[in-house]
Amino acid sequence: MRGSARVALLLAVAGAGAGCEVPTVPGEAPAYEPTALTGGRIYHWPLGATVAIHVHADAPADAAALREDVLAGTAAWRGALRYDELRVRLVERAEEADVVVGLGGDGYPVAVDACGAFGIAAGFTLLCPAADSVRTLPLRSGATGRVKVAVVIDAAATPTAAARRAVVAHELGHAFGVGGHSTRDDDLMYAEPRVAAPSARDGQTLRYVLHRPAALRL
Amino acid sequence: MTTAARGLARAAAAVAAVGVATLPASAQGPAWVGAAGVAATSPLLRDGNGTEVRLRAQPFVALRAAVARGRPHRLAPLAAARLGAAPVRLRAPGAAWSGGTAWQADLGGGGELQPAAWLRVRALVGVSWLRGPRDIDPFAGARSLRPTLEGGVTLLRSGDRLGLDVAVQGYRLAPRGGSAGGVARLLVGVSHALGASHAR
Repeated sequence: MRGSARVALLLAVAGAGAGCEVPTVPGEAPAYEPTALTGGRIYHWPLGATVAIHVHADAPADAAALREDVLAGTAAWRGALRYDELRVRLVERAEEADVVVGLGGDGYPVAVDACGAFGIAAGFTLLCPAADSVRTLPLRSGATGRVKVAVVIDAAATPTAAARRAVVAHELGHAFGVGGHSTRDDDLMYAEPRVAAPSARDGQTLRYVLHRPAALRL
Repeated sequence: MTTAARGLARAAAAVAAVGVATLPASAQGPAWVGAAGVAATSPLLRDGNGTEVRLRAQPFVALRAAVARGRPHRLAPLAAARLGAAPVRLRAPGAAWSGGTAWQADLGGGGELQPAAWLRVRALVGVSWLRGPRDIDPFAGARSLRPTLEGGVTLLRSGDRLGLDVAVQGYRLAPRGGSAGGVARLLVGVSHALGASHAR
């Protein structure tokens, strides 16, 4: 075979490689119903958005511990994602936050009686649907904010650090878009969470939700 | 070793054998060529949930060395190295977001022909190192090194050391939990002969 023929052959092979099917990953179904608590409506943050979270507790030691719980929970949920769909940063002021996570009490910065809430005995997540979006929640200070989701943790119902960490991670699952509970107790989104990190089934469910059109835009 | 990898290894051996077998006793030193340009890459991944992972336009720099062998129409052994970087872009229905930067380094060997004064044609086999954000598939979980095939041409103006480079590179990529597929890169740039031994 002449040299030019060899070059032409390799060019043809390279071209054929270019024409191959694109690398693919199959789509996923949710491991459990992710909209049972929202009347069948999917909600989530815009993909690729950075969600600002403010952590609140009256006592500085509680705030520091809660902050660690939030960081651990967000890292665990982010680890379940495949395309960096959700980023999180912590902010110092409630006025700058999209989500407030705090211990319940008079000092909690969001007016949580604004509308309905869902959650578990040890914590709940509040968001207020309005047509195809979610209302901004009022701040108790009267300042203008942008909080769309409020997470309230009941300190009395989470007496141990492990229990609190599990509840915070569970509620963050709701805050990120999982509007349902699992029936399996090895999932983080089980109604009474016993683990502090999302299972493969939890991750699968959040990934499904994030890639469906949101009926409620956050 | 996969069938594709075995095929690439055989092709590499064939090209190397051609180069060695036809080396003249009076082979000159290598002719060095530097190049720079931009690459466009086909999608790296499609997810059944609707997400597509792509690279934006990817600037690159490259260096090639061909062993001049007296008669320009004969196949000259060629080695090449290239480095490029590009922002990762993710798309889903109704959404698009950025995912950091991906780096790609290529190392290859093959042969080059100059069938006319204004044209050089080359083909290479090699390996490509692709590295990107670890929290984004296919950079997470997929091997960083993979075999590649590449073909390209350089259009030269008579008496000019400057050339227009066009090349196509192809490789296979296997994302975690998914099906392997092909990725193609179209590379366009300018090249410039380096040193005094370029003229063949």
